[in-house]
Amino acid sequence: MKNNHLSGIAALASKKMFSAMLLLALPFFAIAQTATDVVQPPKEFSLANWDWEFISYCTLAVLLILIVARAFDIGSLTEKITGKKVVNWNSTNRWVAIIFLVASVAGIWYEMIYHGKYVMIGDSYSEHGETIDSMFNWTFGFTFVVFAITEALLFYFMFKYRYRDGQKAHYYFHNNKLELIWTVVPAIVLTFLVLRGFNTWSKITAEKPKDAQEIEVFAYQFGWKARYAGADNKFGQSHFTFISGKNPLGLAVQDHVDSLLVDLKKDTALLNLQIASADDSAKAWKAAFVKFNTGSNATAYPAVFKELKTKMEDAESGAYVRQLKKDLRRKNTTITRISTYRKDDKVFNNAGNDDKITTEIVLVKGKSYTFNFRARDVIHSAWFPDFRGQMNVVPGMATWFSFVPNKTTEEARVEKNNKDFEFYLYCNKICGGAHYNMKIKITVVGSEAEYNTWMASQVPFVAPPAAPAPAEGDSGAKDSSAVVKPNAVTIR
Amino acid sequence: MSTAALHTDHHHDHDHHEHKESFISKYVFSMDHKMISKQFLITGIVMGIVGLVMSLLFRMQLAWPDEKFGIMEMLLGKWAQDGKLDPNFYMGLVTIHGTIMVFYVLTAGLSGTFSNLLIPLQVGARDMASPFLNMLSYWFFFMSSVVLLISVGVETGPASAGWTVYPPLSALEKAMPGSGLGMTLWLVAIILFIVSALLGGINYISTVLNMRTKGMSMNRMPLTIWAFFFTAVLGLLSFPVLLGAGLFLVFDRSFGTSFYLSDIYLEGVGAMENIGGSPVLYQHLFWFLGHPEVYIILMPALGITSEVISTNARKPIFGYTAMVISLMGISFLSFIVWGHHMFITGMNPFLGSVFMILTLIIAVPSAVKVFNYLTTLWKGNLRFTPAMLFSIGLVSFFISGGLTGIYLGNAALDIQLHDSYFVVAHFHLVMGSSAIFGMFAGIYHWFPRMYGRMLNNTLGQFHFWITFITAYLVFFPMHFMGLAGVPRRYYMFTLVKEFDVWMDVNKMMTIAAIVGGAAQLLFLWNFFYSIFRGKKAEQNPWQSNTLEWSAPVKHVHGNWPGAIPEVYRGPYEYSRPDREDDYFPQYVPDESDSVGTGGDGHGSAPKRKSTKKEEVAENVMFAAIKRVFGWS
Amino acid sequence: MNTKVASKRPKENYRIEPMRFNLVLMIIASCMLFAAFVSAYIVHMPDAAAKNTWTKFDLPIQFMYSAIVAVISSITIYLANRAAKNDELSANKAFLSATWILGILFCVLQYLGWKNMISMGLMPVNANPEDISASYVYAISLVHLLHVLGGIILLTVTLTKAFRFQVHKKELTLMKVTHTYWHFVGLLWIYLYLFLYFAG
Ligand code: HEM
Ligand SMILES: [Cu+2]
Ligand SMILES: [Cu+2]
Repeated sequence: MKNNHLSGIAALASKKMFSAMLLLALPFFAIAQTATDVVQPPKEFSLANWDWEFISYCTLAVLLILIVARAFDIGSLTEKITGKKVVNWNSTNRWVAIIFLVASVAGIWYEMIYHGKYVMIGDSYSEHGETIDSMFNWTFGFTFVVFAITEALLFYFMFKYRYRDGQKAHYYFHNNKLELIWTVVPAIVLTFLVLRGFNTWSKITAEKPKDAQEIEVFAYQFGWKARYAGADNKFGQSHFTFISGKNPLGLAVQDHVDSLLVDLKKDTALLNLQIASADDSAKAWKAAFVKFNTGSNATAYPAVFKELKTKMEDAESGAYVRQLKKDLRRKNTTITRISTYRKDDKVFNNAGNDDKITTEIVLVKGKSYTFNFRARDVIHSAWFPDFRGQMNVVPGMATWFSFVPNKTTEEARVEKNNKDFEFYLYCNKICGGAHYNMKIKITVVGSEAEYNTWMASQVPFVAPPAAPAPAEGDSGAKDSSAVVKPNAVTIR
Repeated sequence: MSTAALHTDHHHDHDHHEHKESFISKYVFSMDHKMISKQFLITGIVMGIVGLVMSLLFRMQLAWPDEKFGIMEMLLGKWAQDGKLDPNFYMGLVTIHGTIMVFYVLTAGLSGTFSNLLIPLQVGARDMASPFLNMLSYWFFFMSSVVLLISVGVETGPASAGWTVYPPLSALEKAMPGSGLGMTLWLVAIILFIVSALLGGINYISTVLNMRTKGMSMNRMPLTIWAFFFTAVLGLLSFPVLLGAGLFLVFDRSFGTSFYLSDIYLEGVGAMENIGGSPVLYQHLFWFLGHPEVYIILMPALGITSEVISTNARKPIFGYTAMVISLMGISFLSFIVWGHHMFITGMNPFLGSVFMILTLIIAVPSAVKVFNYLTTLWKGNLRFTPAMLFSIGLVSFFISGGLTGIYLGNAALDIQLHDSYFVVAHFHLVMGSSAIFGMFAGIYHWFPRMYGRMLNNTLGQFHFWITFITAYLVFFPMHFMGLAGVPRRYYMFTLVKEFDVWMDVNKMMTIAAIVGGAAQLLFLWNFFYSIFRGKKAEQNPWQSNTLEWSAPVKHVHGNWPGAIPEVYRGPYEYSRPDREDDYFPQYVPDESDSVGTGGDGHGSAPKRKSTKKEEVAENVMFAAIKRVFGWS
Repeated sequence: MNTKVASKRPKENYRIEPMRFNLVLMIIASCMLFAAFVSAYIVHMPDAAAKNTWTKFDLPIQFMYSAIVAVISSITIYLANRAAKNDELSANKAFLSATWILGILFCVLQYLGWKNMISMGLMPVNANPEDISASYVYAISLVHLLHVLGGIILLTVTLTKAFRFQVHKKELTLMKVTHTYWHFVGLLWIYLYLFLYFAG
């Protein structure tokens, strides 16, 4: 055999095939080459780190399987010798099928009793939500009937028509009438559902109701903010370039934007400096690396070693300067953009000063609301499951959703018999590591008065002189000057 | 895999003395469709194991979010320090699991395996239209798999933006760790994969249309072939669009263009320059592939099911023509419904309505297929081979999962259901479980054809029932969770009090998943053991009608040692009243042709006439191609 | 080897040479790719224009020259094909070589076109955010150029074979494939050029 290989390979060398092989393998090698660099270094090998419990379970499981298999092998051997079937799978399966059918009915039944009340049937807390629920009920009605009949038939047929020797199947391959029926009937049912769905959908999404109060809902990694228009009932303008630590929503507020401009200019000055002294830094880093890389330092402090090495390599390959230049360009563009807007009085019209940015949404029962969505970084999705509302929140694209809450939080608590119950708005589009923890509380109050009390407790964005700054610590946005962590120019 | 086939093919050199092949050209860079199909299958199984293990890991996290698992740290290293899974890596696992299952297992592993194995054998061709492209197709797939697996190990973690990798999350390196090198490798892998899928698809189509044996008119093709054919057409038309979407994403990531990016302020970076790009554009391009892709996955499974059910019910498939037409309808419609994945992206509501209507139309051909399967079983003589059981399982899943499509396709309901666990339940049943079951059915049915040996029946029976029950236990309760407002892709649910009631269900699902996963060991054992030691297969172990069972059990190049057999009738002539046997292979000539039924097994049209009509149509097609390209 | 078996395949089993049929399908796939680009362009334009990020600019003149080159090379490959059919081997070689040279010229012109765009300030890499239109032009012409490069490889193979007297009346498959493919990339560029010209 071995001989065969060798001569085979030798014979191939002159053939097309070989070149094709090489051609195919080349990128593969290239990838493997780069991969050695990037794949995590293996952890230090120590058997103590291993999950021996788990491994022993696995071993046991495998052993068990082998034993079972062996047992059945012996079974089939007896089958062969005695000529009798030990197990007749055809009749076994018919019973298993029936048991399965019964068990699954029981299972669904149990689940319905156990969890059915959490299923959306019947507890929408908004007006349009009721139309969605009714749509749901209709769909559920039709599909459940079909589901029950077809699944029952399937398993019943397994039971009824199992193989018997000497029996012949019914030679039946075609029936136009039947086929027509089961094309047309679903089509009619679906037409009904489509029309109803069309109506429901069009009403919900038609256009923004005119008398609705508007609330801006702002999404970022990872949280939500709501913005109310404040006393003047007018929203201030906003732009993503205005965003800074103190101004997480990027409102057009003079002081904040001006100080952002100052910060940005400082950053660009620093970047310019760094670019100018890039050669020196490169030398310094190299020296630092060489100095560090003695004795067993590299293995003793792998993290430091790696950091120094990357720094040195980046500087040597020019990646460092390229990155600086990119940053510089980006900041300059931002500065230009801000400066252009800054001159525009229509943008900086002070309407935003009294806007209230809140970490909770409060609504009044029976009032119509339009939520205007804005995202800062990636796509999020605003899902109000209790109100049957959802809309994606896309950077650079305005989206909205309107609804009328028709029960208060208190009423919901009573209904659900749960005094801690709260409504939430969840993020429902994968947006990063903390996606699972991105929610904002919604409270529906019964009267305008309650709402006003709450509103009064919220601070306007630009506080009257004495009040403290409103921006929350949890906004997560750091001051933009901290954003560019200036690589220490001098490490020497 | 190579030594595997070595055993079965041991003697075949005697048959074909003229050419001795080296090990490499026979087992590695093979151009034989049967070997390539085995390569696809084994690679698919390996990828499937990886995907399965990943899913078990994140299910463990969901069920016991506060627990620490040594096994996680052992497998994932720094991503599970002290045995607690990192949230970012959770996303990575979900993403790679989805990618692997959708593309690597259920597209390449399923369609690649069985299209390759069955198309030439069932239509009566010596090999694929271009064996060389076929080989390239596998090796691109292989490279792609390797790149994807490597991407799991990179320092910043694998791609983690979900299998749909929506920008900006996937486009901005700083948006999350997985959007760095991991995402780049993901894109490389997918581009390689697309090339592989296109090369494969081209071959499948051209073999089916162009290389059928004598008598194998289109309306005598087994439904498997029809399914593979439509699958390949879908792939050919939709994968290039994904390629386009991916290229734009590459440009945005690497060359600073703004196809998908606009108005972004990134924590830790500041305001980005990009304006005017459209993230929604990506979604349109992606789902233009994405929706056909789900049928690319499902249709081969449906084809396999048709074949297996008919064979094991010993009955002609009911409504052959309707089956073909519904496949055709599904294929056509699947190109114009992609918007149902985007109802709530803020696109024009009227457009949403249009997509809703088109989407719900798809339910009709799907329903027809289900009813036809049921009628095929009715008054059959059902032999519960593992393949048959898995096919019945597929039908069951297809019903349960397909019906929820009617909820999701309804834009009004989708407002509530989008991206909830309801969607997870929907596609795991209708696509995940169905197609996997189709794949298992295919493996159990054609294993004798692939390896010349039988799989162990008993293990197969156990494998089916455990997998079937656990799959339902895992995915069915997700409907309830979704309806109760539990969102998808959450790392844990303990931070919201309202979700507490689902904790025990979560645990149950995870345990079921682990049991189901363990049941796959039965299969793996059975598979690899039987390759070497399984019972030797007979020529036609299932008494099937189709052409592949007329080829020698030991593979030969060119499939048939002598002339390619001619085909005399449709593929589903089971239990014909005028015959003693309950089957009547396609390749057996009519003894007398006395009755003149000669039915094609799926219609009452006289044989000659329908064949002729179709021949005319085909001639027109070829003439048109020749005319257009000036080849006449 | 396998290839041998493949060539032993009985002819009656197919109507069109498999290689040519595969080519048709490949062309369809390419068309879908460009259809994706073109439709993305069409739907993106109004959006971007509303945000002033769709710089209008004149397509570089070189792109038009390359369209003309595409036409001429289509003629030469046609003549090469005809010569092969008629067994006029030296004419075949001459026209194939001409096509090859024109193909290279096409690539050079595309390159010059890009340089021209760069001189207009429209960068391929790290473009100004306002120049999404230019990014489309770069992307489309780049992917098209990759197709042309594929064509040139094909031409090279055919040419080599022609010089070995392996392209003649009885051995036309490769010639025909090259011929069709070259027409395709040529036509594709003309279409793309016209599209970008009138839409942009
Ligand atoms: C009756 C026919 C079907 C209809 C009407 C339907 C409808 C839908 C709709 C509207 C969605 C989007 C849900 C959402 O994200 O909000 C969806 C998701 C999905 N469907 Fe279907 N579907 C049907 C059948 C299928 C089949 C046969 C498959 C697979 C073979 C499938 C696979 C999927 C997948 C994978 C998703 C999830 C995609 C994702 O967001 O990751 N569907 N389906
Ligand atoms: Cu989010
Ligand atoms: Cu879809």
